[in-house]
Amino acid sequence: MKQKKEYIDFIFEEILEKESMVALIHALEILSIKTVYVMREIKQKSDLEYEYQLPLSNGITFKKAYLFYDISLIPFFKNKNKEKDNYLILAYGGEITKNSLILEKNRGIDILINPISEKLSFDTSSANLAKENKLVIGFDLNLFRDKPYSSIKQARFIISLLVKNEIDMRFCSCARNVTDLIDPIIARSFLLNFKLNQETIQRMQMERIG
Amino acid sequence: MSPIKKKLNVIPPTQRDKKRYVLLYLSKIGSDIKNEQEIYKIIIKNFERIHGLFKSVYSNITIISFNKQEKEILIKVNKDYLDDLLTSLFFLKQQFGLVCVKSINQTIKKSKK
Repeated sequence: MKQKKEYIDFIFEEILEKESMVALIHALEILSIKTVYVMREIKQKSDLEYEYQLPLSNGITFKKAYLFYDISLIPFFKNKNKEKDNYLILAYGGEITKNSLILEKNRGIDILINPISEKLSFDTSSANLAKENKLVIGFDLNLFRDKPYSSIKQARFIISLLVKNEIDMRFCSCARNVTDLIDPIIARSFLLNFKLNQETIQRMQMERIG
Repeated sequence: MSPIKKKLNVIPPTQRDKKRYVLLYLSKIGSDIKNEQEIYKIIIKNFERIHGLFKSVYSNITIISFNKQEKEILIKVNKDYLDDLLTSLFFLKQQFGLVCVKSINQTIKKSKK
């Protein structure tokens, strides 16, 4: 019998407040998403003050992830949470200076999300840094829906660099509500347009991080 | 004089385009959408925007069935253009909300099981 595929995805904490748990779990189940990283957005110190609870579900594993917009807050966060247990540290990219800072050594960042800005902000040296520091580069698929022209144009270049340098990538929905979720089958077909092969895409959609 | 031909020859099965039947679940169907024709218009217009006129003609997209209550549609597409159809569905969030591929089959019979 053919084994059913189990996918991973990243969603924002906001979705837990906006949507009913029944609707969310149902959507994740029909999309065969079995591991979900729930991202908390950290924009200022006060965002770190209270903890958040992950939902419980039989078939779906929820994990914590902290998305930093300001990486100077990471040391403060690490001091508070000395034991790194079961959570990921993510940093939101953007302009070239921001990306370079994130890609520097020993920051303790697992994934750089969206190294895309108004202008191209990721080059060969950024790719080399990412490879050296074993950073995963993540892309928000909903950004391709909202700003298709500029984001596809930049991602096309960045993805080819990442493939060439054998850097790990992840494509996630970064959903803020249920309709933001993306069927992995549709996402796979979309990603084929970036000249990625089926096996690579499948691995990126299914392999857990951390 | 040979008789005037009134009927086209049947294309042999080996020469016909291979098709795929895609069963989709849509989380949102607007109240203005009443029949298959309106769904078809949205899908084909979006497909043409993403891939262009030629691909939209060659893909031979057809809506086989539309169940508004179950929010399900069955689409027939030329096998070679299946990934193009799925790619275009990526951009239909505003119209249909969450689009989920329930199954992709070679026959209608299997799709309706």
